[in-house]
Amino acid sequence: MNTACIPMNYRNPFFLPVDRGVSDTAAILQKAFREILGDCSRSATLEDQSMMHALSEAAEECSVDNWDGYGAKAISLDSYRNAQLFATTLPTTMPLPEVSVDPDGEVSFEWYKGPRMVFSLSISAHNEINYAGLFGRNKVNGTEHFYDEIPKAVFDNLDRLLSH
Amino acid sequence: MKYLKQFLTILTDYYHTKIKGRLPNTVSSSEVLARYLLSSRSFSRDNNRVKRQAFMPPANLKLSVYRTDKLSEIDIWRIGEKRVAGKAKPPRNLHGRADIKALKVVETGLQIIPDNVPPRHANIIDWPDEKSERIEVALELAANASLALRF
Repeated sequence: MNTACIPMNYRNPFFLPVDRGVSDTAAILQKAFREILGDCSRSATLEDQSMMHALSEAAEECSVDNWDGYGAKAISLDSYRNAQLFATTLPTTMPLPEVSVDPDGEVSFEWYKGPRMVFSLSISAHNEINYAGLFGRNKVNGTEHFYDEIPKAVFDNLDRLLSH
Repeated sequence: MKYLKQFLTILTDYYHTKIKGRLPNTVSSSEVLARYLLSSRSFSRDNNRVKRQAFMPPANLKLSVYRTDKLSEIDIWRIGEKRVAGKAKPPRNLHGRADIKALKVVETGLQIIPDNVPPRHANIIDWPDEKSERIEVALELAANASLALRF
């Protein structure tokens, strides 16, 4: 018997289990699994560029101090670069977020699914992600560091929002 | 004639802000506060909602709002045009406003401090130190606010 599964404690959605069996069928499953993962892990933004365009628009609109009329700081270029990197790590399976800029100049992303079903994060110039979400009456917030993949806490919250 | 017009404008302003718009010194929980929206990034036309950007405080952690009780729609917009959009440097377009009950603000642990400079102005203070917590509070405020668009 051969099976394919997603382990409960997966590191990220593209986790590939090490122990995959040795039969011909297992090899076929393994090949299929790799193809699926290869397809899913392609960045949505590299393909349609719409998010990069949204980022670029936000950067342009918020390029000078007081862009919001209330004394907001101009967009931080380091935050912008980190946001670009973050955008490229988003998988095709995930809806594109709305892009904005906070009054402190940090780029923010927001996924909105309905009233009180929203997850939002800001990316700092120092690779810090500050996030918060409303899931009905439940709320979360936290801080994670971002290097080259979406932190698990952030992914889990996105999963919680999008799978609801 | 020019001076007469100016005098009338001043008189109208005085009436609207000092006489007609007199409010108690403390904000009651049932009062409505308006956060004027000068950036299209602070709301979504598609799903008719206020985004948390509308309620993210600036660096001094004082979020500027106006008390709009006992005012007509025309007067509420007048404050936004004159006191907020017109005073921004450079002047900005007024896209709309986020209306929220004072009770909802206080429920998040924030405080509303009226300073009446300019008249009907207040600041929302006592924001958490951590940014992630401020995002959560701003999400909560946005979820409880209603969007009124100018056009």
